[in-house]
Amino acid sequence: MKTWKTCLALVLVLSLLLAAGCTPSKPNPTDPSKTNSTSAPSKNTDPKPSDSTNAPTGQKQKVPIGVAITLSGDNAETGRNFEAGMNIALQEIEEQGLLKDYELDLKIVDDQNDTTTSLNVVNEMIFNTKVKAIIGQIYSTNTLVTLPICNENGIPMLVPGLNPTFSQNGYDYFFRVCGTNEGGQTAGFEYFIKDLGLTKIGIISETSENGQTSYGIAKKIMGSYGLEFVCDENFTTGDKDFSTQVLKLKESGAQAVYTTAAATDAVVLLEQIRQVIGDDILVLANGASESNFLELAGPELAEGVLYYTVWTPALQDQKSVDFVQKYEAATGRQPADVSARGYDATWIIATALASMDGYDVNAADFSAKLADAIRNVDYTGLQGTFHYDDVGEAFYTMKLITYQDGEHVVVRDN
Amino acid sequence: MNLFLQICIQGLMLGSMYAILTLGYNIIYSTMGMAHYAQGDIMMVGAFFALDFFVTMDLPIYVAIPLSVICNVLVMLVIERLAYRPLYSRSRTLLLLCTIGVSTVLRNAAQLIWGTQSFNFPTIFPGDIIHIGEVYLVPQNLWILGVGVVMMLLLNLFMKKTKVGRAMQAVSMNRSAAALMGVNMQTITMITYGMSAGMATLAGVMLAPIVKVYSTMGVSIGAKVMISAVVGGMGSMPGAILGGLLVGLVEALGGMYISTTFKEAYPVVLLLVVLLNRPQGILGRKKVVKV
Repeated sequence: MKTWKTCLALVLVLSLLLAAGCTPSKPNPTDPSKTNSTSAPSKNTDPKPSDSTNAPTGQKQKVPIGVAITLSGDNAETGRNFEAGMNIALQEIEEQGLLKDYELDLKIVDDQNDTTTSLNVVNEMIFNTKVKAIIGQIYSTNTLVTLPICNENGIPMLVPGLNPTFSQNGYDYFFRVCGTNEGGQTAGFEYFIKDLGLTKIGIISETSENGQTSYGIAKKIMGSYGLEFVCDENFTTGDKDFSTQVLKLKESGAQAVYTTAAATDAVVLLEQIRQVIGDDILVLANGASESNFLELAGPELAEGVLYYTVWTPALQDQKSVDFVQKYEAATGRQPADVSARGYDATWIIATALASMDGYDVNAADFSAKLADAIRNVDYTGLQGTFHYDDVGEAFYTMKLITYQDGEHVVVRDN
Repeated sequence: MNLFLQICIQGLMLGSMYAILTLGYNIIYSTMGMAHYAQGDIMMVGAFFALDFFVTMDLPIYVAIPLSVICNVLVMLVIERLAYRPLYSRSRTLLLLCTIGVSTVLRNAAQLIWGTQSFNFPTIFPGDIIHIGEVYLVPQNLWILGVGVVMMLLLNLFMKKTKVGRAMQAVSMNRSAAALMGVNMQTITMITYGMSAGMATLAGVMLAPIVKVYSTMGVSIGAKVMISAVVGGMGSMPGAILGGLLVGLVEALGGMYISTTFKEAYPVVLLLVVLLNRPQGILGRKKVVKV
């Protein structure tokens, strides 16, 4: 009996190894309970606290920066894309020798796209790790609960999320590193209504906080044109049956539809739309900006699908071309717009630090000084030039992109 | 009328997805008397095996499916040996909790092995949409419905006409008595779990082209499967099909005529209605307890 059990266990282990060996893409396990510390390489890595406000010359001070992003669960890919963008920025910062006085010490922690975990992660970063700034979080639901904590404790937060409400609460320590949903949707609806003269537009939104915020903005924009959605439907995240929503969409005679669905859901929805309604309806999908959308949908299904973003791999400026090359070399695939956000966020922090003339990292007001430096930063990154306004915004407009033969093509550059 | 007919067809198609998985769920319940919460995740593991064999290794589908079934059955048997068997003599609540734990472990293991992203799975039944007047049918969905019905018929035959099937029924009625009558409990247990995992793999392969393959693909559908099983009657094979189809219909009709916002809630309402009026499920047998 024991021999039989041993054989069974061996066969199982072998089958799992076989499965792992022929995995379509290599896994990147992340233990959410552990903190990854990524530092830009430096000749001297020992932090030397000093009594004065300036560190001794020739010695680099370690600046702990918290990075709270989603690295596990359904949306882990987004976090990984963000992290990959950060890594390229770190490499460039080191190569260019931008930081003479400091060394970036990134404390990357998985927020599991969960509000409770996010709260714990950010509290841990602020009160135990004593980070000087936080980069994160990608998903608005989490940022909504952690941004007030950062603000109360004077920790600058560089937010890569699109929820426009963040900058409407008077937070002094809030800095967005991308555009907003409002800007993106404005670009999309202007294209539908002004450019194409469409009046029958439908919406299929998630019942999540993110989906409903996007829905509220979309409704407001439609209202500004004196229009209402001809089809107004919801779905629960993870539900893969859109047959009812699609039938209602067909019945409404909509000429275009906007969906807040993330990549996988957007692809399933798109398949069902094409099956039932055909190609006669334009689709604007938030999830189409994600890197795996094209992979999942394929060029044929993705053809003509629209999404909004500040940055896309389709941009042909030298900075973008270089970034895409480096990203592809490092990861083997195309970057997503969120990769550009990670890249720019890292560069903004580094540029701000470089302007601080070696101010003592242990000084009580270091984070406040860093916030001032970020506020006054003059940095031109992948997404454009960052000049923060009073509410922490850098961009109010976004580009509208479509897929043509599997390539990203700019349709409207607001 | 056309719209009503179309939405009913959509509901039945959706229901057939639930039904095919509920069959595997019910076979464990009917023999072992335990609710297998991890059935959706077993389906997910099966779909990943199929993805490896069919897409990555480019094996023909008629080779990929049996290989996936074998691998998934092995995984299921190891789970049974390590996690469930030590708890058979304990309360059923403990077993249920254990299946919830197994579900989480499987999901996390899948994320470690295959990653967290979604994977495309090519359709195994290609074909254009079938239009009958203004009503349309998706070939892949028709196949799911067909496979579900065939599986149910075969299972019923197996349970009633074969020695092993009858032994499985005997075990479900009274484990101790069945053991005393010479039924090898260990073999029957292994066959039960093996069949359930095999069916879950088939369900995963059928669903993968529609919903894609990802580590949490069994979560949402797993809950619907439990509802389908209870509505149809726990342990009943025709009940599995009926429960699945009803859940799909209620979801589609509720979404169409009430609101899509509460689409996930309609099956729960159906569950409550059935439990209040017929606690054993529509086709379930009332448990008679000797006092």
